[in-house]
Amino acid sequence: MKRCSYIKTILILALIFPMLIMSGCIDNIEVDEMVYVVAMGIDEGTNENLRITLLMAVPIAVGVGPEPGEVDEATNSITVEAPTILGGISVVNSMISKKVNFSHAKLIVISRQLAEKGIERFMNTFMRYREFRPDTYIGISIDSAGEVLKSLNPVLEINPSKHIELLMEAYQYTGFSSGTTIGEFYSRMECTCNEAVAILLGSSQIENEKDIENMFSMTSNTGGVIMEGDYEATDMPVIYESKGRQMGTAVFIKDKMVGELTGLETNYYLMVSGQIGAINYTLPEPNKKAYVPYSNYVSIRLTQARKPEINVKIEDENPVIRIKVSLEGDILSITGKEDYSMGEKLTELENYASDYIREEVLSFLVKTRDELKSDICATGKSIKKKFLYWDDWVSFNWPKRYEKADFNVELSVKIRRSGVMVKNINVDGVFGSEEK
Amino acid sequence: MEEKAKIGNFEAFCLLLNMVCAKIVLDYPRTVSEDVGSAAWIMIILDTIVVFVFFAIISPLYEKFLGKDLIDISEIALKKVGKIIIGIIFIVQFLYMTHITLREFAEDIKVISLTATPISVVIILFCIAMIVGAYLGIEAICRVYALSVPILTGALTLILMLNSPKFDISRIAPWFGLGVETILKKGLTNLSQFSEIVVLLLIAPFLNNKKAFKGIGRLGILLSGFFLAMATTCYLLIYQFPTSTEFFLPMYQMARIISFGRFFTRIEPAFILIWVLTAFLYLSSSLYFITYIFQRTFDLKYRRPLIVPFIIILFTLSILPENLYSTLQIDMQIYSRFSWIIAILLPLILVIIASVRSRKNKEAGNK
Repeated sequence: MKRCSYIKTILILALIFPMLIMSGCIDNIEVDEMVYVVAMGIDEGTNENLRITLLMAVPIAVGVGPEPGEVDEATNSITVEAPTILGGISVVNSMISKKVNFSHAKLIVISRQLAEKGIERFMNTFMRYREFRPDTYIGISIDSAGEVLKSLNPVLEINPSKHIELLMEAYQYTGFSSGTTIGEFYSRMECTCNEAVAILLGSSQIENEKDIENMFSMTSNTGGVIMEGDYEATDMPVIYESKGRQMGTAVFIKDKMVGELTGLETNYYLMVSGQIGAINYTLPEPNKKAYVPYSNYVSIRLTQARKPEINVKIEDENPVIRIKVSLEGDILSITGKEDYSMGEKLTELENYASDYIREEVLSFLVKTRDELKSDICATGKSIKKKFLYWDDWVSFNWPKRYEKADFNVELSVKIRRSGVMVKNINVDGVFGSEEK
Repeated sequence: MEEKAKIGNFEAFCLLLNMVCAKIVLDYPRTVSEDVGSAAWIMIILDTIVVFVFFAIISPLYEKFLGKDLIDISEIALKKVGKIIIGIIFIVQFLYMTHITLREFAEDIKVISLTATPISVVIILFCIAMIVGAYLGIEAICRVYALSVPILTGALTLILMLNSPKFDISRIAPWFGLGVETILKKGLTNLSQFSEIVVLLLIAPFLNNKKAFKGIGRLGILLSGFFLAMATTCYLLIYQFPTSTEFFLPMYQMARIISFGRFFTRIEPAFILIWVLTAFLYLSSSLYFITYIFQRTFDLKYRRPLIVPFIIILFTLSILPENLYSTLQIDMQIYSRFSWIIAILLPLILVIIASVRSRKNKEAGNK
């Protein structure tokens, strides 16, 4: 009996022992011994090196408890050159008093120069090294990735991590970027039925109104009004303290960047791939000439009514891709005198919006086929389901087939609401026209 | 004391379910997708049917030996010498699968959590839990199973379901993956993934209701097959072939990508808890069965003194593989190919021989 209780005591101690050593033995980590990277930029360095820029959070500057912090000092950046990412991190670790940790990193930015050569080698690090999380956003900078990070300084949000996270999530209500994460990018990069995309980033050179005028004077030579979102990240007509910009999408074939989409084209990419959130979309007034100065516009809040339907058929060895997109929207504003809130005018607006956006979607799809040669909308998924064997599917070679695809787009826009007004009485209607 | 051990039907069912399905939290979804590509789920369903048929053949034959375990049956079939040989075969089988699983669980912990801790320390921590479990015996282990398995099953299902917004049916196309021939070939060797059902023939004498043996086995095989197929299918619906063959720990990878808004993210620490609990239960019962088979094979009076020598053997075997890759190779190249012969085919042959022998003995007795 005594021996039995002795063994039980040993067993209880044996169970308690691991609990004690597991929590604070060799792997113990003190939070204040770490420096948390918020974003990392990778550029091409000298002698085949990588130039790695880390944007690190300074928690004490963010604020402790109710104490407000200093926005300007909430982040600190460091740049290092090394042949590999983790080699560079070791160099940084040898210089600063804390250990670099990526478990709270929100954004990885790679320069276009590197992206055009292929980013598989970086993706391997991000997927293999456990500190990088699959939900970290991935962006491609038109110019230097390091400069983009330094220009992404928070202005309205004191927490740099939250600032970047909110910025990257904004695509859900702007539709101007793709919100791509490392996990999604990797999965698409290795997929045989679609290609990868990444967020397009840049740092703006525009300081004042003069710069905007210069920018437009250059574009006006090519003609017409530019709709909102019809830019890439570096050429946005915006004056703002924070110079970091996200607008548009970087398009890849496998791991190599092959081109860009503007913010507006990204809208259409999100519509076709079923990722559109609730965006504000502006179109010229029905039956008015588009893209002329002082034209009238209708702004609609567009959302996805149903998931897009994509069907692919092979006709004469070439794929015919039928895409059905269903959108619904609310009228947000009408700048002209016509009222499209009800009746025939509402139907007219719906039909016009459907035709207008359908044309835009079609020209976007043609761009992905002819110019980019990249099936970013994952239309190949539809035909992949018709195959029984992996070898047959691989030898079918969908990426090559996509280059010869024909598109048949059906797009419908249904206006559900007209804001808080049911109709619009224009001023001329109230006072009577001068001719009367 | 242990001869009086009694196991309820539900407890036995939970034991069987956890023993077969523990590999889900290891690398099972990855290995099957490596074997047959996107058609892994078809192979698992076929394997489940085959194992079910095996059990349907063996269970009516075994009914004649209710109250006897596999070691007793091997004695009836092959006499005393045969019993020792069969006992040694099963001890080697259990030692083999336990040391691989011990190393794999320890490696997993080292890769994702205790990165700086030496592998030997991690293995020792598992060994402590194994000793405690094996010391307390099958009744205590089964009671913990009955408490834990419903929670583990619920947690696993939750992880799979929380990933459902990311499911894409096109990822499991082409439907027959690497081909029908490959499915059938690999399906045969993958029967080894059901090797643990042999424990049912070891715990049979401890069952409260010995006639429930058939029902426990049937339900255990069907539900194990269901969970193996469900976990693999969910994994493939997120990571298409060949990306699905890259991740060391599929379930951990799935837990890592769960996110609902900015608030509900990073749930993998909860997964580690589920995972370690599964490991402790699996490894404790394996150590128990090793010592139990040894005791029964050599007709020893006591089982508990065998625990320490066997844990030392297991510890030594588990640190023998040079690296993680060698461990996975041992698992995939040797164990997965041949284990089914010992765990599924051999018991069937033994039960058939024992039935024939006992009938002949009966006839001779009648004469």
